[in-house]
Amino acid sequence: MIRLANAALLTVDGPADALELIERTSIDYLIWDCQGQAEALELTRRYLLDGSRGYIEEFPEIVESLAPKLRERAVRLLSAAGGVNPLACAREVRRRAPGVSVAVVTAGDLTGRIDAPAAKGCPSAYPDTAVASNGIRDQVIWVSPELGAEAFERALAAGAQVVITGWPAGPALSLAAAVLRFGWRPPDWNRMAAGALAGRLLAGRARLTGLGCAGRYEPNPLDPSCRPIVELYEDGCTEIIGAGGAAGRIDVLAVSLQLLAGVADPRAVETPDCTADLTHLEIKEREAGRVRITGARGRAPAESTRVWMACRAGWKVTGALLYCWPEALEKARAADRIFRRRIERLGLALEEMHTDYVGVNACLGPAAPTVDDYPEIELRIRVRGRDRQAAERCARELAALARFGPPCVMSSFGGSEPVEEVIDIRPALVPRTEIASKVEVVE
Amino acid sequence: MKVRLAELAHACSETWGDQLRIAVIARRREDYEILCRQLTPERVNAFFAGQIRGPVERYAAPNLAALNFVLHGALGGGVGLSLRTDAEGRGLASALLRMEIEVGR
Repeated sequence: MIRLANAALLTVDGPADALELIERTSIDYLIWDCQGQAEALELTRRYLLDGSRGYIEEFPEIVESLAPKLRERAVRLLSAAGGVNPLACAREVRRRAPGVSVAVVTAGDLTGRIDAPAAKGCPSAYPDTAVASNGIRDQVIWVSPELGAEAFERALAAGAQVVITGWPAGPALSLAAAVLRFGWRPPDWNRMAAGALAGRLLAGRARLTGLGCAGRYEPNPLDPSCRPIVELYEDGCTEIIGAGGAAGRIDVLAVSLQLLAGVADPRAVETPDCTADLTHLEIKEREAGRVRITGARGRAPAESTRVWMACRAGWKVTGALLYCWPEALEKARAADRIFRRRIERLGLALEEMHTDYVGVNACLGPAAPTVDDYPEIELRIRVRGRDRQAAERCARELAALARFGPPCVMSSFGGSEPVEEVIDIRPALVPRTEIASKVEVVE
Repeated sequence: MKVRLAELAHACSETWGDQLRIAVIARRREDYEILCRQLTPERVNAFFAGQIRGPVERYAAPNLAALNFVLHGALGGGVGLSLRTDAEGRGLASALLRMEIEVGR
């Protein structure tokens, strides 16, 4: 059996809590696969400002603090902390923790090859993301595939204590640990699927506890005793507990939702290593706070594998204006009309404009209930276009709206700059044969 | 008799390019049949009219008492391009839980 723990919150906890987790739970692996698209966007922004950034900047310091304990307890750390710049991350880890054996897992450069899949008759993108690869190559910042477990297994087999890869990582991190221990190989698809599903349980925002479902807001993963720990057995059976035992509130509902989240067809959950089928799973609470999963089925992976790409996509500006009772919504709506009339008159080259009324419909959209008398409403107007000067003009218009439009009590505009670069991040499919991986061990 | 879906089910969502994927799980296994009957892809598409381009696909995992929905064109172009405050569509899983469901036979 191997034990894996989610390390997604190490950046906020700091080393002390991580040391305690290792001390108390006798885990074999820390899995740090925590980043969503929003985090990837933020890391890309930092990378564009400074080519030496773009990874989780707290990570090297955490490795430095954890290093002695990782060695003492033979705990290995598999991490996507490399973000969009894993090599820079590894260099900094080596500088701060010179005694740690580090491996970096990267993909071959696909940036120059995004036209190739289309030429080979493979869909270059998901239908509704409509990447026309013609003409966007010069806009591409990075292209990054979801790598299979093989590369991470090689890194572990080479003796790395800390394995660093970039976004998006995924279930292959956990599967690699299982493959190394149990020697699972194709065509043992069922057990490989079990390993990949274990990886899905450790992914995301440690959501296994404190799902945010109705009435389930506490305890949650910010309480260290609630971090999920996954036990993976040689027969493919998986058990999940909270680091603090039954208090972790891990139950059948939590595990089921985590496995289903983000899935289209539960019969075909695509991973780089296998296609997993969730529809024969049995998920049972073996005892309070301990859930067992059996019945994972798998088959060979699809011919195409998923890559993500980030592209420069113009400029945007955001204005937030707060309106107070009386007639808060009426004032906000009038302000929106006034703004749109002025923009139309200027004839700016814009691609899209969107208005949200925060407090009314920003979350629920058309399903939002109507209320007679709002105490306050925040108007949020966002504008996007290819032309930076047009976006800057919109920023000035929003400032004028706050000063001279219907009376508002407070306004704020984006970040420190009036306009922000738009970075599009989207999935595409390319043939598996196009994907290469590279493992570098840094002693 | 009609109740809100929230009384019968939990839901969560994740993005995928410009798709939103919503998983709906029955709170009580015996209500799963009601969900299968009432939560048709057409009805979910109509429910989000104006918010998504559609169409909506539905998949079932009866062993988990779950239905998964794929909402196409749901995010204003995806997380990076979207100008919405809720760029990841997290609120839309909650919005779906406001749908009125007929529970009588």
